[in-house]
Amino acid sequence: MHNDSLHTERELLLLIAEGDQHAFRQLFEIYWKQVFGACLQLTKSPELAKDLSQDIFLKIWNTRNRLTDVRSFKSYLFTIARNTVRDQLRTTVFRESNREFLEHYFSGKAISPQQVLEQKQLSDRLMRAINSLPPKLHQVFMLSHLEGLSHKEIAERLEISPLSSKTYMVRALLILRRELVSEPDRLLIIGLIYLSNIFSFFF
Amino acid sequence: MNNHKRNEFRQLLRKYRDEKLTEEEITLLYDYIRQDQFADVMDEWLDETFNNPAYAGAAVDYDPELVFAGMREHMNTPKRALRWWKAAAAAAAILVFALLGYISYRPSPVAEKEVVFDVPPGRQGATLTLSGGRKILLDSASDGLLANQGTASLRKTGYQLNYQSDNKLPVDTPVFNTVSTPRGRQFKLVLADGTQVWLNAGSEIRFPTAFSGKERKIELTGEAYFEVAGNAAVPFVVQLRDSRVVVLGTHFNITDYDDEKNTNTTLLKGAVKIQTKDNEVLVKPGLQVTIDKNTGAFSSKAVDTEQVIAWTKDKLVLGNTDFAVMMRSISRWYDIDLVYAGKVPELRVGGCLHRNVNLSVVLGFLEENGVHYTMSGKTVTILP
Repeated sequence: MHNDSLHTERELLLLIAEGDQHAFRQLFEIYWKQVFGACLQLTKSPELAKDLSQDIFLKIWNTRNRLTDVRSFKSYLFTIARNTVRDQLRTTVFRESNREFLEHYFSGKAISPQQVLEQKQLSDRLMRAINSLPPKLHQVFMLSHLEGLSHKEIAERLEISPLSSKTYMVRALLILRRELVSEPDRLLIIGLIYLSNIFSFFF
Repeated sequence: MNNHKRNEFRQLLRKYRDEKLTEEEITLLYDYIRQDQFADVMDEWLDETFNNPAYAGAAVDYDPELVFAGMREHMNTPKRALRWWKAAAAAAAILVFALLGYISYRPSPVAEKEVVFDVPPGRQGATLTLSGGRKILLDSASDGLLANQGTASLRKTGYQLNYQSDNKLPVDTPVFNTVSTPRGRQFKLVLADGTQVWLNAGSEIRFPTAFSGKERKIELTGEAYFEVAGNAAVPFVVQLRDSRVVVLGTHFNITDYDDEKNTNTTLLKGAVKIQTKDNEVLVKPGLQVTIDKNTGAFSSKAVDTEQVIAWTKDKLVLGNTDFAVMMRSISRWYDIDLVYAGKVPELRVGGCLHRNVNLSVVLGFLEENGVHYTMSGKTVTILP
């Protein structure tokens, strides 16, 4: 059985080396989750993780003539993945411009769903700002705010990763804060205090 | 001490990955990243992450089908990798011609050679991609200021794109542009440092709109001829897929197409250094250095450099290389598909044409040199 599957992968690689897109598609399906899942964990950004995964697989395809010499595809793939992601971590993720996001992402202020529910009253302006959030961010925000769901529950509801739910939430809060902080307004400030606590969802 | 630090860095990376980092530890992690030490620790960490199947479970954000579809347009499909139906269609076409010839008692080679559609030559044109992702088709863009990118402004003058950078402004974060030529197009650009680049058909170059830092680095796939503006203090670096060419101010031509097995660097003037992961070689003027992309092996030979860069002067040199390489270069310029009905002929042809002629002229020339072919639509089939 084990030998069988090895044989099949070897055949796939040879087909791909000859330019067979269907074979490449199969290979992509076998490894997509592993590559994307790791990239997501490494970047904390679903979009970046998707772009990186695509880059990784495109590199495999665009240098497919090398596949005939590849002994272990897995380590070949992960070497390409490592090199691709390493550069991106340096140039995008661990940058000053991303620091605010990461600080909020890893901020550990815990708060129970009950406390969130108690503070359901939000100002009109805050509501308007919330309604103009990008769709994904808006969905995540509303589910956590109105229904008090955890990231794990939101993730199941929206068919996304819990990590992505958390990322969208932090982004939503940063947008709201940026948009509203310039308006000195008592109600708003109350709203923002509430906001600074809301993303403490565990998952 | 060092060991302790390595360990701490490793732990921070793991905590970051596994959602266990604290807000305070971010500063620590950033410090390690900035110091750029312990590259091996980071690599090990990346390896263990990709190898851990636990991280695959949550990967449900995107529909793999759509992700794959999104990759399609970037997947190079060299024409020599024949789809079976194309091969079948070509075979059928040959059969039809052959039958016609047989039925009408005409000598079949005459029918085979009949060119139904002629193909015009390539021309000037390219696509410019700005840093935000906006694309500008340079074939049809009007002359003048096209955009401002970072500290640089870019203008189109005829078939040339010029980057001009305001040197007084500091370059905070480099802004990258990409110029790509499809098959059948070539283009010339002048980078912010004054370096001139001729981009041949089916090629792509990515570069910062203004240069900063210790090197002037650009990325290339395909073929380009460079006349690099001298600046010994800041070397000019061409990053290829597997190797890089480091120069101080010189004239050279690079060919690194995905569908060619060799990378060729030809030096006309000055000095360049070619580096791969495990090798480095200094090139002298008049020499062409070849890297076999499969084995990584270097070789070098003296060449007629004027022939190598003839394409930048609108000349089509036939016979400078082996037959298959020559035909692929023709197929890129005329955007045609190539099929070999039998083995690739071991022919050497010699000659030079203007690049501005129709394909029929080129094929006529090849025929005089003993190449047999048929043509249907944009597919040229070379007969044994």
